[in-house]
Parts: sequence; C-alpha cells; structure tokens
Amino acid sequence: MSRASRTFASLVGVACAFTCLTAHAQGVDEFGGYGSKRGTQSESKQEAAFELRLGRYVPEVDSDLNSTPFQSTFGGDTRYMFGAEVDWQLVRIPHFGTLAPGLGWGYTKFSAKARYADGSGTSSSHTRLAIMPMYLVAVARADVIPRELKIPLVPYAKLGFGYGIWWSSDGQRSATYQGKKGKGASYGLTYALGAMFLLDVLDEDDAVTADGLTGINNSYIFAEWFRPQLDGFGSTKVLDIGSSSWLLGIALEI
Amino acid sequence: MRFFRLFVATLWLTALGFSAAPAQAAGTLSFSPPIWKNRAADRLINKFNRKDCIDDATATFSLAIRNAPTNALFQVWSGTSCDQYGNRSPTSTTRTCSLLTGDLSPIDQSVEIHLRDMVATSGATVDQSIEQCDASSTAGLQPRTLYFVVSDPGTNMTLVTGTTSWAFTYDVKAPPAPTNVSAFSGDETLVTTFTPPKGETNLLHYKFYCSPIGDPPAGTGGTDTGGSGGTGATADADTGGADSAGGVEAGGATTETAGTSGTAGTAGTAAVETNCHSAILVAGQPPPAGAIECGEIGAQGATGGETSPVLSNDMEYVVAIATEDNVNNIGVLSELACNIPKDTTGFYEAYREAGGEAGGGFCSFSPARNGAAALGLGLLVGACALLRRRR
Repeated sequence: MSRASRTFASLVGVACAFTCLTAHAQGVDEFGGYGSKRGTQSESKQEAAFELRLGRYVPEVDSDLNSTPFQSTFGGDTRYMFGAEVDWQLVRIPHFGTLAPGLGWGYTKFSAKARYADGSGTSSSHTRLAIMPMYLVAVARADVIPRELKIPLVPYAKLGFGYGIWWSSDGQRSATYQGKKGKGASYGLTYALGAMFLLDVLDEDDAVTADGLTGINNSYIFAEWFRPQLDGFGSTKVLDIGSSSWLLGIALEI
Repeated sequence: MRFFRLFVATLWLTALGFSAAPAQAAGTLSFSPPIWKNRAADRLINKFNRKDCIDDATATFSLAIRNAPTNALFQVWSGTSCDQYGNRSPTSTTRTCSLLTGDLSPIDQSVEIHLRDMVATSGATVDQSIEQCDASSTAGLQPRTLYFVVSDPGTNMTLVTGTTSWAFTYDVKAPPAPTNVSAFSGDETLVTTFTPPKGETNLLHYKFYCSPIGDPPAGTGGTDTGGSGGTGATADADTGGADSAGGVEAGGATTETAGTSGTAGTAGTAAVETNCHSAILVAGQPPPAGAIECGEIGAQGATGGETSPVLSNDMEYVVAIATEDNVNNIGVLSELACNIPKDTTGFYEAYREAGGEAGGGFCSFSPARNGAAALGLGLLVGACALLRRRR
C-alpha cells in the first residue's frame, strides 16, 4: 500500500470515527460484545471517573522573592508530575453531562547538586524539593457531545480547593534554616480545563464488551491545562508551589 | 494333609519374617527446636553468619528416641543426604557428610552441637576449631542439614522414623570490599563512588567508616582489599598486610592470633592519595572500634553513596567502606579515600535567604493575606449545594 493510500485510509478511519456513531442494539453474548454502546438503553450505570495523569510541573516558588532560588538551584529543565484523580459522578444533567466532586493527588521531585556556600562550584551532595499537590474540585464533563452529537470529544472543567505539602532535603538530612524545618503546606484555588477523546470509537465491540464484563463505560485519553494556584491566597509565609501547565492522561468512567 | 498344613505354616512364618524385617524401623525419633548459646537471641534460629561461628555458637537439641534397639548406633551428621549410608561411609570417596558426635546410646537425651562443626568442610573430620569457620570458599548462603541417625551397627540401616533432620543455612565468608573508592566533598559529609565487588549476590549494605586524616598506624605499609581467604592451618607471618579471612592482626603488627589461617589475601590496591591515611582505618582490616560509623546505604545497584552528616566542615577526613551481607557479615575495609567536607547552600537555605518565610512543618498554618480564601471556600460550598439540589 502506497503512502498516499495509507494516508487516505487513515483519513477515512478518522472521519468514520467521528461520524459513524449510530445507535444499535447493544449487549454481550457468549461471543463477546455486539452492537453500539452509545445508546443509553443497555449501558451499565456510570458512577465514577478515574484518571492517571502525567504532565509538566514547574512550581512558582520564585515569584515574589528577591531572587530566583528555585531556578538557581534546580535550573530550568522541564520537570514532570504524575498523579491520579477520582471523581464521584453524582449528578447527570440531561443534555449536558455529569457533575462530580473529585479528589486528586500528584507527586513531583526536584534534585540538583548543591552549590558551595563560598561560590567555588557545586558539591557532590544533592539538594532536593518534593511536592505533593492534592485537591478537591467540582468537575463538570460535557459528555453530551459524544452521546448526542456523536463527536467523540468531552470538554470538561474543574474548580476547587487545592492543598499541597512540600519538603526539602540536603544530602541525607531534612533541610533546616535557623532551626526552622524545610517543609510545609501550601493551599489555594485549583482549576483546570481540558478535553477527553473517547477511545471507544476506535473499537466499539471491545468497548461494549468491556462495559458488559467489567462495567467500564468509557475510556479516554485527555489533555488538560492544570492550574493549582497553591500560593496560600497570596500569603508570604507559604511556599508558592503552584504551577500552570499542560498534562496528558488516561481516564476511565465506570 | 499334615504336610500341607506344615507347608502353609512355614509359608506364613516366612511371610511374617519378611514383613517383620521392616518392623525394625518402627522406632521413632523427634527433637525440639535447638537452644543456642554464644549467639544473639534475636537472630534467626537456623541462619548463621561468621560471627556466630567465631563466637563458637552451640546448639542443644533435646531428642526423644522411642523403641529403638538397645544395640543401635545414634550419631549426628552434618551434610547433604546423610540418611543414605553411602554419604556417611568412611570408605566412600564421595562422602558428603561429617560426623559431629561419637556413638551415642539410642535413648532420650540432649545433644550439644557446635556450629563450627556444622559448617566444616563436607566429609571432613570435625574438631570444634575456629579454622572451620574459614572452610567455606563460596559466597552467599549455603544450605546444609543436620541428621540424627539411629542405625543398625551391622547393616547401617536406619532404625527410626519421624523427623530426623534439621535444615539450616550459613554464610561464614565475609563479603569483599568495594574497589576504586573515591570521596568527594559534601556538606558535613563525604560523597563516595566505588565499584561493587564482583560475584556477590547477597549484599545488604555498604557501611561507611570515617576518621580524621592522620598518620597510619605503625606497620601498615601494605593494604589488602579483601583477597582470597586463608587456605591452610599453618600460621605464618604477614608483614604489614592483613588477611581478610581469618587472619587477625593487631595494629598491623606481625603477630597473628593462635590458630588463624595462613596465606595472606590477594594484594590490594593502594590508597588513591599518597597522603590519605588514618590512624585507625586500615584497608583490608575489619572496621576498628574507634572509627566513626558514618552511615550506610542499601547495596542494591549502588555504585556510590553519601555518608551521614556527622563530619565537620573544612576538616579533612578519611572514609573507607565495608560491605554487609544478608546475614550481617561485615567484611574488611576498602581502600581509603579522603576529602574535605564544605558548607553548601541547599534549596531551602537559598529560598530563605531570598526572603521566603515558609517552612516549619506540615502542620504550620499561615493565614491568607486576602479574602480569596473565603472565595475559594465559598465556591466549594456552592458546588456542594448545587449537587445536593440536583439530587
């Protein structure tokens, strides 16, 4: 198959994925799943969403300081956070989607060789900062779009309260400065906007089978702009471990 | 008819005779778990290290032997498959077992067994000597079994059933030290890099030993880094070097403790720096009592590590590394490496010096500077109220 043919076939496949979502009788028999699951008649009850998330995370520690200790210590390389989120989809709003409280957790760590205090270079000992952001948010997912418009995209928004803990270490010991421990907690608003691509359209039969056998209603990949604004609502006594970045993930609705 | 009955009776008696033969093994043997002396109480009952052997750990088994013929032999053997006579036979060229006790009466009794005998070379004659602790040339845990054998002195057949063996594992060979040790400066620490010993699969930790730099003890010109263990019982004079296995030298002097094994270890690598000496740390020797135990790291995959922050900045230190295996054998010291800890500025210190005020602990609370907190909480409450109304 020529490259042009493959490209054409791919385009046809994508177009089909976007347009061929027609409702059929759906179920699971001894041969597996059959029919389309996007009809609402036989889909299992949907109650929760789970997300696994991975994305860039650069804390805004250096904001509102006299210098840039974070940048100077850890440099400007891209750092990543992984995390997870659980939403309890309590409410289904007709012709809109779901509304859910969600609980999220993430973790990221920064490490670099500490610099000598006299400025003569870097030592072989490492200094570290670990951040564990958590949040409680309200999540609105507009799954009306794939359900009624047959387009496999679900936009969503999150808004709530974030709380993160952080701790720093030098070598094998916890960091301290003038008797004060180098660890603490930060808080603030957390919000996010994103869109999920419904993977079920890639293999309808498998999706139906997964729903019938395991109760997984939908599976997604998603991209999200994530903004944990963990600056203590402007407090100067809180380490600003907030971030503003994009992340990717996979999600399941069950 | 009379002859027929006689014939049948003869057959029956013969059959009875055959069936009665195995009845000789109708005796039973059982024993209680051993009680150890000269051994730390918190250690596993059936896993032994070199220190247990050196300290002459001794086990006492209480045995119950029932219905054994009075002329039976009762012996205790150590090895593999010692329940088969071929592995106990003094004439066997493939003997795998060592006799630990002389011939005992097959009656209830307590038997005392020395660990040194239990781990002696398979098939060798045991003598409770400390040299037997050097018998193993294999690294890692070795399996072995004690056998309580009650046998017929004529046929050597076993005469008892029941639990007649006790399995144990041992490792009496201290692991070799890492090589190519280098030390770099940290904040009240030294950061080391090293090459792990090859072929060691049961390492648990690398342990760091530190001391201020100083003149070496007299007579410690050469250094051995591990090396192969002593191979003979003849004590000879090591001049300056140190044995890694068995050889115990005092401060590098040429005297060895009585009965220690003979040949010196393989010559080690000289210290990286010409002037990197310690008054108490000597490469190739066990960690001395006066050394600063400056931390340890897990051995899995490690090729370096940082000491604990117990050193003083701007003062030159010597560090040496010893390995610890899974049964807590601690090997000899590696070659020495030196460096000077120096003050560093970590992230938190840099943050505070830049004007940051955060820190103090996870539970320290800092109130919000503005009313945004109320806004955030209000949003959450509103979301919850909306959810409730929808339900």
